[in-house]
Amino acid sequence: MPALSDIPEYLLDKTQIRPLLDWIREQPMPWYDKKHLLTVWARFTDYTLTADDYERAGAHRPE
Amino acid sequence: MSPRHPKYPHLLPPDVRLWDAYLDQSNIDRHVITYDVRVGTPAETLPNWPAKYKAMSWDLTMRRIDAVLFLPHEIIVVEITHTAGFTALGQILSYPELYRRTYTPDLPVNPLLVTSRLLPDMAALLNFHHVPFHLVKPGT
Repeated sequence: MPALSDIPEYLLDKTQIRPLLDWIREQPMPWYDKKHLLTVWARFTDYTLTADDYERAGAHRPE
Repeated sequence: MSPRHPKYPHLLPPDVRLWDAYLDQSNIDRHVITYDVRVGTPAETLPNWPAKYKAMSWDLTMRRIDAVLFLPHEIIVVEITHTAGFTALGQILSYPELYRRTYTPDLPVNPLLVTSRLLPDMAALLNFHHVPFHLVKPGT
């Protein structure tokens, strides 16, 4: 899985949730790695994720 | 790098040969596998650390699962080790629960040990704990 330190430093802040979700969505990685990375980022920044966040980041299992 | 195998940079060379041999013998789709999945609690960092250094510390101090398989009805946490002893047993007993706690998945999480050698008592203990294992002899 990609590492937390792969995320641009300016996105390592919970106020940057929207640009972070857009950044993750654009990354060439499968949905499960997007979920892993988003989840760890949320713990790192003490942010509470919503279902919409996973959806926007493409971090959900395909139907 | 061969396009056939995804990268797994943190496996030791004997474990790479073992894992390649296991994949060659299985029918697992390589596209459902991810490596170095971080779980558990990182080491504490100081509040005044820059975010970049704190992120690096998290990357280095969270536990790393060798491989995770995303199958249609389950998630399989895989420990890959050429010789399986008590360290591998502890990891494969612990990592599925750490995965659940870290990612709250919507599917069951099950363990799998892939090894080429079991130390004494390991087969009995793996069976006792209902941990499936595959003994694989990698080619030379």
